[in-house]
Amino acid sequence: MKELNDLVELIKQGEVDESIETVRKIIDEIAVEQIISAMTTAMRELGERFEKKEVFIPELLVASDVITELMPLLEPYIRKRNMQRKTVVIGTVEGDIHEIGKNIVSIVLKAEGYNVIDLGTDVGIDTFLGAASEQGASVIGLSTLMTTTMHVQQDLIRELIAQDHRSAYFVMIGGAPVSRKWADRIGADAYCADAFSTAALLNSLS
Amino acid sequence: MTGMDELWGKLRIAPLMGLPGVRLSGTSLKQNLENADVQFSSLKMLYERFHPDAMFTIMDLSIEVEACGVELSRPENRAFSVKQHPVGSSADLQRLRNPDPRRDGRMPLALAVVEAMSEEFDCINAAYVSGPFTLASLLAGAGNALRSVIRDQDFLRDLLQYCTGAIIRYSRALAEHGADVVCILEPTAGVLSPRQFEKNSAVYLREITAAVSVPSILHICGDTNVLIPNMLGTNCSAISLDSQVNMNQVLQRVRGEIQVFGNINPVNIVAYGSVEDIDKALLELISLARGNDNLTISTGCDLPLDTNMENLSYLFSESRRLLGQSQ
Repeated sequence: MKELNDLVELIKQGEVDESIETVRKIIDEIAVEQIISAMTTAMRELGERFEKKEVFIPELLVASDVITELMPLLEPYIRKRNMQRKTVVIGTVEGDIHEIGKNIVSIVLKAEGYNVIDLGTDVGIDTFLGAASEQGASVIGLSTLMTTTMHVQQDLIRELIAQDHRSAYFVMIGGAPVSRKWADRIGADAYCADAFSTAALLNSLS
Repeated sequence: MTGMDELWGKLRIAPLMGLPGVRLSGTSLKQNLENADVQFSSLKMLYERFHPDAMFTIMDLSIEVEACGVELSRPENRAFSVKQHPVGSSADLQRLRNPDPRRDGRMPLALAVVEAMSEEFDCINAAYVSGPFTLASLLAGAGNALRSVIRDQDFLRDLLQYCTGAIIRYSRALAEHGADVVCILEPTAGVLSPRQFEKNSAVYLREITAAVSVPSILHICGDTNVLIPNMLGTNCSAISLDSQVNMNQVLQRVRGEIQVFGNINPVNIVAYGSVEDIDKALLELISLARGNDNLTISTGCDLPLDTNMENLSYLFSESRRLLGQSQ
């Protein structure tokens, strides 16, 4: 379908208005899964180019803006079709207000069809755990950009252990100062270097 | 005090450390960021314990943005941060202050710290300043600044020109108060493409380096491999690189032209690693240093507050031992 191919290109170019127009035109004619698939394709293609250092964060951000604007249009159709989606609770840990990396992860996962509950920035441990429980999440994503707040990732895992809930969640961490080694050290399930490897990892678990 | 040229020629080990001094002095980070005497005492403890070839002030990206008139959140033991980014358009710039380093925010505090360092530390004394794109991101929000790279170049240019003016005034004041070097922190520009970096950071960095009388170090965190040619084109006297950067390639490229600081992982290796980790990282780095007097052993970014002090001691003693052997 030409419009779906157009949509992929429009998302990659960060064209919000034209993307919305395209989706409005086709949303009653095709299955919502096909639109989600077009979003996934666009973000994956950008991801491959990001990996090769052909596109950079500004390009990812403007493409992410398109996904953000499209999701409210798709939600009623997603609910109507009762699509099964794994729920991911994600946020930047308490004390840290950096959000770009976390936002891109959130958008890429949405484009992949996950039900993402983005708690925002400066999120306390209790809020993470409360939301994960209430929303029936199976994945918790913890972002931090600062060495002064990376310990909150460890504290959350300790709290899960203390509550005897550690096995209920797949805990993934990311952010500039952290690494696979840090993930191993604190007992996280995964270290996520970027949004695209995060999506690939979660897809491989499904 | 020793002359600057002589000190610059002996720049061998200078980790980006300020936060571990907070732990040494038994104070809170907030106390250090709000009181010049407390900060200087913390830095003095670090200086007297390790005698690095260069001392840096405590890394604080909130000084300039606060002096522009932006309100900060001030937690006890975390970096200060901007409560709300006030700039969404060029018109908003009119509502900001043009900071006067002798009067506004905590700039006078930073000047007092660097003055005390210059009086008491016989090493290169470096003062941090925010880079233009980083300050722009603090004023407009990083997301907005990064989107503007693609969507609104006119606004971004106005914003970057405002930031550059503020940074030049502050840098000059730091130099007048005894800073031997300004270390320009430009982490947010580290996520730009080379072309975007050139247009939205390097142009303004060149303006800053041309306007300030003392040498400058350009520090960008993260994987900046693709930006190295652009960083070298900013006319900074040194670049400071994070642990993801291929130092071998960088040193081959610069061939002694400028000083290169780097790039031991501050978190995994120095703060929480083992002495074996430090040994391995140092040996790799020092093997590159042979024949390269322009390599300064440093950390890829600021060391965390709770850095293992025995590790830090070991980093200094082992660096000096190995450098002694390699010369």
